[in-house]
Amino acid sequence: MTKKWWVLTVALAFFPVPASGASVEDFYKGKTIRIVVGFAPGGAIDTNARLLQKVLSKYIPGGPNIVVENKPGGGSMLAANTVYNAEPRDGTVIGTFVSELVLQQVLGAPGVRFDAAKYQWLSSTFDTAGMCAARIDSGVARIEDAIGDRGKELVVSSFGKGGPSHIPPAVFNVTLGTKFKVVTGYEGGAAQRLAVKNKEVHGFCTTVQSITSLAPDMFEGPTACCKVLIVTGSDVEDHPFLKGVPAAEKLVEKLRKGKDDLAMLRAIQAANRISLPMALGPEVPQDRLQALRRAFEKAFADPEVRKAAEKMKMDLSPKTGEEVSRVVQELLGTPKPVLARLKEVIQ
Amino acid sequence: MLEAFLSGLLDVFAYPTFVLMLLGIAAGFVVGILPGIGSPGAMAIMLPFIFTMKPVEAVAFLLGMYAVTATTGDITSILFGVPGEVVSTATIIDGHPMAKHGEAGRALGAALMSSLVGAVIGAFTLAAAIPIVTPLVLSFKSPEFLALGLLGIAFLAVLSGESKLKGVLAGGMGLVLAMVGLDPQENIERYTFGLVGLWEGVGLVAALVGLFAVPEIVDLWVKGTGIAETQVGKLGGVWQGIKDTFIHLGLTFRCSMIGTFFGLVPGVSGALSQWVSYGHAVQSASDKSRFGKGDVRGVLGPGAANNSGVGAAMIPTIAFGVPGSATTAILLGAFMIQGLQPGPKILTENLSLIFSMVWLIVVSNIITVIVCLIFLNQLAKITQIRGALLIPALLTLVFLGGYADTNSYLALAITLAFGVVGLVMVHQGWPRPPMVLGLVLGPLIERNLFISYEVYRFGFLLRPIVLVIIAVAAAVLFLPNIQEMIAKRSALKEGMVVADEE
Repeated sequence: MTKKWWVLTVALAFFPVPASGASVEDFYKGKTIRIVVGFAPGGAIDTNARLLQKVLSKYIPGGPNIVVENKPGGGSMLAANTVYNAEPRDGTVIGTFVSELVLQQVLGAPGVRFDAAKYQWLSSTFDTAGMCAARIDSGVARIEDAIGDRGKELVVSSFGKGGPSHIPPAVFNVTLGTKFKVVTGYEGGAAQRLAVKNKEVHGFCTTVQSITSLAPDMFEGPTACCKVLIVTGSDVEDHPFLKGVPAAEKLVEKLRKGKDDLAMLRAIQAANRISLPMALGPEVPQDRLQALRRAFEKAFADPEVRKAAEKMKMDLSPKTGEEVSRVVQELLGTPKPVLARLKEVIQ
Repeated sequence: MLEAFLSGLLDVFAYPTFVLMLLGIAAGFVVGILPGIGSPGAMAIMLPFIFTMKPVEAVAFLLGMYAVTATTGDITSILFGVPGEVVSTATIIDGHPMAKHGEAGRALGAALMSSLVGAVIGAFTLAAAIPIVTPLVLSFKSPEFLALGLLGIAFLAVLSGESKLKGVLAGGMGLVLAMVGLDPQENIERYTFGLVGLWEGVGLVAALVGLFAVPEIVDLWVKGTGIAETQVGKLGGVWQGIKDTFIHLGLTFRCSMIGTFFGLVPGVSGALSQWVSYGHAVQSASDKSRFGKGDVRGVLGPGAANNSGVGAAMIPTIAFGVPGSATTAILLGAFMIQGLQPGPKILTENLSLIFSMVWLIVVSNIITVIVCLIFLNQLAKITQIRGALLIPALLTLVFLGGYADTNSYLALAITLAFGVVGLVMVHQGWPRPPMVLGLVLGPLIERNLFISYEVYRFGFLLRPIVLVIIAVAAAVLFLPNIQEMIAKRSALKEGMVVADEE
């Protein structure tokens, strides 16, 4: 072989193959996909990731290895920023963080270094709603008892401004005229609920999904102490805890409040509809994105996942990547004046 | 109840539960000994395996690991002066000087035996406390948590050793460092320098590893010898250490109770109880001169407390879903995976599982202590190895542990920064324990101060349990001075009597 041929052979051997040119199966074969979780192990987002981790591999062409990596910080903002900016954009890194971060972005919160519109969404696990509940002995039996000048002040415990325990009561106060007094600073949802159980506060706000899976003892059985007063959204899920409970968007119409009030309530409900989302960073080749989206759909239908979720009393209501993207777009399109008012209330 | 107690024991020895517990113990042994790499990380790795297990098997697997880390963590603290686990930091203060003086065997014997006694007392207190635990836990609200934080502050002076002023200042610095991050009420950024990674504060593992490990490694390097500065013919008497536990049984028992109490209180972890029990060991001693230089009582106190808390900490975790530490938070996740709803119901409906937990803690600690005792002389010989051979391994493990805190380079930077701080403090004779106490107490005090005021205004100061805890804190603060004054006065009187007689 002549010298020229040698050079050509060596050059060809090192010539990079365009990533999108290789089939999805070839790409993922022998590779490892990392699911970067925005919280320390043990919480809902972490459990969700580890549950899917068990079955995901068999539904992705090439059967890559899947690992879960915890990157806690900034209420999962650190993970969202890192996956967007600092991780490879080849489909080997999946981020999972709280969906409220999209709301943080449209409100211009500090620390956001991603664009939710460019994130390539893969799935979400729950379609839920925000809700507020009060102790039975709080003197507030219906939400109307806490509305208006003669309404009773309702002290609720919260584990963080701008999160699911703070946004609903704060927004209900300005849209419906409720009299929630939000005490922030409790260390997580469990501490928040303990404060209700030991009667330090009158009630608490969180998501419907949280109470059905984490705190059913507060709403049924011998230790029942509380009643749900109101949920966000336009419809109320059919669940024993929610019988006769009004939906905020219906109530705001009934009370003849303005259009902006309705828009605000819609904006805060968006994040609940795509709870526990998973996403790829921008610019990942379309064929891999589609392959992963279909893999997530199959993973949610997997009997092992269904069985484990049932054991955990998690009522899965997954959304496809396309559906999540639509909800995100809707939220990003919220009118400016509504956002300005929302920002004032939440931040 | 008795039936559940016995069936709980039988369940532990059934197959495959027992084998899974042994696997857990083996894992706990390794992560406990490795500095920086702690039980939370290990438990996270073990978590995916439990999806297909039965509840008692999963609990055996995870609790076997968790129950022994506090015991084996003490070994690292004593041998290297590097915290093997967050909860075994206080063991360093007297345990490591003992190792330096060639008494590694005695210190290890004392740590292991007191750990076993603590674990047994803690586990059985847990069993005995089940009927009264719900009202007890519910009586603790934000003002009571705040008062416990203040009680911790009262121990600052005791932990300061000889220079009280430096100690109190170091404690203050710890409290300030605890404020780094988003404030818990308004999400305002404090000292974060625009880094999102600092929003949740300075990682405790990264800080502790830096504060204690880096100065030790530098010290080892500078000396150029092994860890033990004094060569002792026999390795400093393991049996003596075991005997010490029973000579000071009262202290071991009281510190076990301290550990149990702090374990029961939701949201307060062993990270605090080890320091309170160390402080108690110092305060209750009539001769305090050896503390900080290698007093075996300084090993027994935290050794007992960090293990007794393991059992008790299960109560707030499973009955109220409020975990007190990173590890119990993951354990809570494991319960959810197993379909066990945290709540008071679990104490009645799954009683035999709860008793299995009690037995698991006892059995796994007995196994660990026996295994450790067999290998103890070999372990203690590590202190004789030349520093140059130990340093690379230690450095790797320490920074790996620091990195693993939050899987970020920022954690590595925090480890380094605290390493420099630790070095300066050691060099200038500043005590490090008060700073650690400040770091641990800062968030507890701040959160609960604001909540207490928001909910109760100043009325929170008049709650009965608050008053009792504050009285105890005042006693901790002022009793030594009063005792000293009385002693001085009687000495003065005696002196006058002697003078009169002359």
